[in-house]
Amino acid sequence: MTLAFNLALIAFAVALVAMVVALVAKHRAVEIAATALLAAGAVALTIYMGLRWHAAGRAPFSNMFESLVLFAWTIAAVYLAIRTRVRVTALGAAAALLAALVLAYASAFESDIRPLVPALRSNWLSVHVFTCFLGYGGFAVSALGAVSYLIVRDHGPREVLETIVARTIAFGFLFLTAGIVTGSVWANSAWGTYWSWDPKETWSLVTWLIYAVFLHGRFTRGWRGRVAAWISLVGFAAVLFTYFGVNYLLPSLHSYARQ
Amino acid sequence: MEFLQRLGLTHVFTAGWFLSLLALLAASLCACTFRRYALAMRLHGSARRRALASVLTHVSLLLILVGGVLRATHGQRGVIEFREGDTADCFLADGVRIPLPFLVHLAKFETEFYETEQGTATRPDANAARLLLLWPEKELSMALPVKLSEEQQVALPDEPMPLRVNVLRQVQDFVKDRETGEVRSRSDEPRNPAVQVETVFDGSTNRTWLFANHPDFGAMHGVKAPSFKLVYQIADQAPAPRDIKSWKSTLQVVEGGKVVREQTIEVNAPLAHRGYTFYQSGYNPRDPAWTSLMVVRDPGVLLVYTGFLLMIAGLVVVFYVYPRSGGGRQLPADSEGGPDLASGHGVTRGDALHGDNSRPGGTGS
Repeated sequence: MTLAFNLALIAFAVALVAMVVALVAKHRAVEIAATALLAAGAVALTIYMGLRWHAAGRAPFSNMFESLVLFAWTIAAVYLAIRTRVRVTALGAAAALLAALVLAYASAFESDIRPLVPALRSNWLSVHVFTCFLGYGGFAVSALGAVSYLIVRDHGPREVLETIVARTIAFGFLFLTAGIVTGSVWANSAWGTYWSWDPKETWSLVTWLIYAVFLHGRFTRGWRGRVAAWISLVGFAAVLFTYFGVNYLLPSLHSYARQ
Repeated sequence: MEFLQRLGLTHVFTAGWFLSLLALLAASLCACTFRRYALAMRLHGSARRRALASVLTHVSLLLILVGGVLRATHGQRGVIEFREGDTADCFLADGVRIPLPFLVHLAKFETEFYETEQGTATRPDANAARLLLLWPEKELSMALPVKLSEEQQVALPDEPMPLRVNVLRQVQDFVKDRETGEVRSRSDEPRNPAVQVETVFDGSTNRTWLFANHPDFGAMHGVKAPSFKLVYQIADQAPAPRDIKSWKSTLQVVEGGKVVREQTIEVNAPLAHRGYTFYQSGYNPRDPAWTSLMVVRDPGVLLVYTGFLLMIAGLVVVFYVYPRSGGGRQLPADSEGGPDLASGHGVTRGDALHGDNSRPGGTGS
């Protein structure tokens, strides 16, 4: 099982180097090889999560380590989905870097499989966490696209990056909404309340509102360019606070997520 | 503190100003939704469907807010605390007894644990024993294994010679014969575990007994003061704590003297009966027959759930079923893997999400 995790980390790291080489040398074959490595890393992570799921007898989404593994997977998956439509090597390099960093950070946490506390013993666990992290993956790639947009000077790539930022935010928004909804339904079946202004809930709502502002601005006011890129980055900062900040700084119903 | 309370900053989410903001949000949503609907009806085809789906997402928010208001104004929430065999005819909400239209009988309550490996931490064994070497002045604290008749040398900071430690004897139940002075073990049970230790340090040899249950009695100190201290420790003899898997309450609903319903509830599996839902809530580790249930009556929950469904459906339609064409521009399709946009080659302008205020009947709010 650990082998699959290590292989994924190595694949992401090598993919990053290859993406940078492809970016600098403008070499298409190298970019294809780098993308294949990123895909191989995602497959290795899929196998890792599958084996962990089998060993634990439940979805491997219950603590910080497991959620980080899922986060790395969703970052790679969202980028690869975009890559089937369009090739943006700079974004590929950024996605490989972030996926590798997230996975490396995960390795700093306890990876033992622990039994679930009673509140987490529910089928909603897999649905709620998976939808939330698909959303986070979309927002992460959006933020990477926004950074690339702010760095890249050529007009053409900037327009496409702008489109990617907007589409990944739409994707992330849909899944964050689904994550909040499934979390609410789960909370109602476990504690008898679908919303209790828990810090995690409140901050996920703040994140949701920031991206809602982005989508309204985009749809109705035609917000584009640097403004859109900066809102995307502010939104992702809120995602990071919802994910990490709340776990470590605020007492929450989601306190198991810090372990 | 009183100043913060007056401003509602100690209870933000129930403060008047916050609820007013929510009301303002609802009013704004109403206005936007009507406007969006009016604009949508002027469109045709997929543009109208997309616009109507957008209206749906805003209506869903209103439903959720209305559901929340219903819960706040007409909902009830409280607890029942009882023991196995007890029957409740009411629940407590903020200290007020609220009668139930039926009786709830707790037939059984049990705490379920995960299986643990037997014997791993329930009894001390030789491997769990250790000698703790403490030297506060040197900020030294280290554990040494208990190795019978095997000298261990410990290098100490700023000391030329090591500390030599030798465990001479180890007994489970220390007793000393008053007449002969002979030490023996009274039984094999670890009632009074002890070790006889010899240390050699700074040219001085010291020999003494250390007791796990009495760490300060006969504790070994070095001759040179301030100096080290040795403590004999063994694993806790208490059973290892077990992880709780679930709490289960078997409830019987009694109406007209008859049991009309029986269900075992758990944390994620409540019992719903005639508008009241009973949730497994609390337990007392010192009283295994006691439990508490959360009782909730929420007439707005169906509206909220309907809102949830409509919102997801609306977003799917807006983003993926009838996405904006934005003037027909799409991300470049590429059968060969796509043009490299980072290097500026092969760019096709594409954006299904471009704002387009120029078109009549745009769904702008």
